[in-house]
Amino acid sequence: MTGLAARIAALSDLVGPPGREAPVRAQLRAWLPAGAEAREDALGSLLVRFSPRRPSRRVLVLLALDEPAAAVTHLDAHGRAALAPLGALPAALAGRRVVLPSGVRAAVGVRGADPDADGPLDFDRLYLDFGLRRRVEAARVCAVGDAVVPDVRAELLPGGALCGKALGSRAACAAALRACAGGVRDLRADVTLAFVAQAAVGPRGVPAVVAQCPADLILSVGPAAAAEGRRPRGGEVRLGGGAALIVADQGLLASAPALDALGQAAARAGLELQAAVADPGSAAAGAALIAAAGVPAGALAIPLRHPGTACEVCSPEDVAAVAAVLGALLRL
Amino acid sequence: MSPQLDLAWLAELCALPGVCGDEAAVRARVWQRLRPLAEEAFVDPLGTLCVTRRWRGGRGPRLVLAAHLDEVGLIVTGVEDCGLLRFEAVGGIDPRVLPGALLQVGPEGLPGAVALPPIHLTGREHQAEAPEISELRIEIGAANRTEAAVAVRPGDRAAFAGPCGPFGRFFRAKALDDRAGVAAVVAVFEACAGLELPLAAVFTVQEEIGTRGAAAVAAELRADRCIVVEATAAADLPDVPTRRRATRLGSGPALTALDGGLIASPRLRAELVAAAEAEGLRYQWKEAASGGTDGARFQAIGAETAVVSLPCRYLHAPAGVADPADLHGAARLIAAWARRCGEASRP
Repeated sequence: MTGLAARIAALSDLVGPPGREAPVRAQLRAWLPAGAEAREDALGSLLVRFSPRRPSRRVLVLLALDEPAAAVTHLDAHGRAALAPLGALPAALAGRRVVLPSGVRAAVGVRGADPDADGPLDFDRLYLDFGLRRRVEAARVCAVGDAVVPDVRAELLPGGALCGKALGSRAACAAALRACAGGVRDLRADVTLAFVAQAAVGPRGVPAVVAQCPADLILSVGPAAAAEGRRPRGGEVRLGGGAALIVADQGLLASAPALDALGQAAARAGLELQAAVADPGSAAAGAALIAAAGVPAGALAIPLRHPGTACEVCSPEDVAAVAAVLGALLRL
Repeated sequence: MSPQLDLAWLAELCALPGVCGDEAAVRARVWQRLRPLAEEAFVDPLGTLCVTRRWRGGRGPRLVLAAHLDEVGLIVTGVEDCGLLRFEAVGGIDPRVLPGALLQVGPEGLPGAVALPPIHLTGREHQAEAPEISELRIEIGAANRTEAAVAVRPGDRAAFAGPCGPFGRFFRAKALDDRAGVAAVVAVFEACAGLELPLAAVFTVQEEIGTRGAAAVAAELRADRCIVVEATAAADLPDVPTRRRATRLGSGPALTALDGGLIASPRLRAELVAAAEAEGLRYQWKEAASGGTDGARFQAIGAETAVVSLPCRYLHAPAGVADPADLHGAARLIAAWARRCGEASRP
């Protein structure tokens, strides 16, 4: 893998559960262009600002730093760990290998003799198996509050799409960095890229970020589920169809100024946007709209298959298109 | 100075009615106690009480210690012709704990009880079912609507009533959630009055119906660091699997790694652990990711936030049970942490 795909894959491979995003933050810092001013807030969100001398406007771009995970809530006498979900990580984690931020690996087991016969599979029935036999042994490798994510590495599929965990959010981070790769001299807007901690659980980090970063336009960049035929009334997103413009989701009705700005940016970039109604959606923009008391907000999205699983699929071409539209918007 | 919870005062505090939105009696008692130590204080429009020392001009990070004044309870929604009162729950109450519960009703604290038709008149098929709240009424000894309406109006609250105080080696009371937290914050504030740090004791309202008071006051205070002191479930009961017990009585205050609304600041957690170990204090980890506290509100405005929980059996019921050793331990732990914050910020 090279170029953008390699960056997305590298970010996807990092372990960054909510509240423990340091590896992702460090990697993003290492890739920042010259002239970017970076700082972290109390929750761990990474705020990267590009301040041109006479900015056209202030744009806040919201991106997720973390990924859905499962948190350890209890270590039992047999050295197994009970779990609770942190974000929308499905209970289909059963039977997978997972990894802690420390690099310790474990298998996810299911309580009950016959996992299929004992009712729906929920987190209460899952446990971590470290291959140990006693609590005291498990306590050496894991503590209550630690979190695990699927232990998978991003790979290219035959069609050129990427497959891996947390691809939607990490691809958005890569797109934002590409959009600002030329640094402050290349931008007309005063831009803050907010890589938001704990975005998968709430999104809790968004209000704190919005309070710190006054803006004229707030844009979230994240994944949108590629339904591809499953939404009978249209408004669906297709993998390989380019950047998606979310006109509405559960938390957001995109505001007219945001839609106008994104439309102009797409025209400037010579690209077409897929207009989409997202079901689970880009809640960050909706939360920001509330938190910023009416600041125009919109959402740009990367089509993503199998969101929230350990095998999300995205197209690097779509990510490049999102980067191009975002870059054009920041140069307006 | 090592703080000690005043258990007699805690018993008085627990006995006061303070259902969400009607916390005035509890707030007044807390203010009466802290007034001599306050440099500044205010009550915000929702009713949250903030008592501060060196908040403006103090040296070091601004510390908030928070606990909530309110408790779950009932709100009167109507009066029947026979004088019984219709009601709804305020906050999370399991209807199974209500029938027969003793109450203090309305601003005058009228004695009341939750009424349910007796077993003699309940079909066998319904005896094992939990009643719906809509099937229950409050009895205040009124013979008819007119008599009841003289004493109670729709919108009046009804709080649990009953003995509050020592209970064998434990402590029993209604509203330990979160009067125990309030008493702990008061004890720490008293013990830390000499610190040079900017310090605020914050007593929030309407926590039980969505942490509403904290949302308003967090934005007003703009703290740097926040410890929320909150009662939490101890399900250390015989038929509960160990992984669902959350906390245990007598194992010390519980530190929260995460709950339903917050992932505690790793730095604050580490500092609390270091303080506990340096002082030789017992602590446990809360082993459940459920529930939520005011902490999420303080974190949302950018304060590093952690929660110190007070293990309590039978939360949100007419009588809770806690171990005084856990309560004293929580106050000592938080005071030790605050002192270390003060030492760390000295030039």
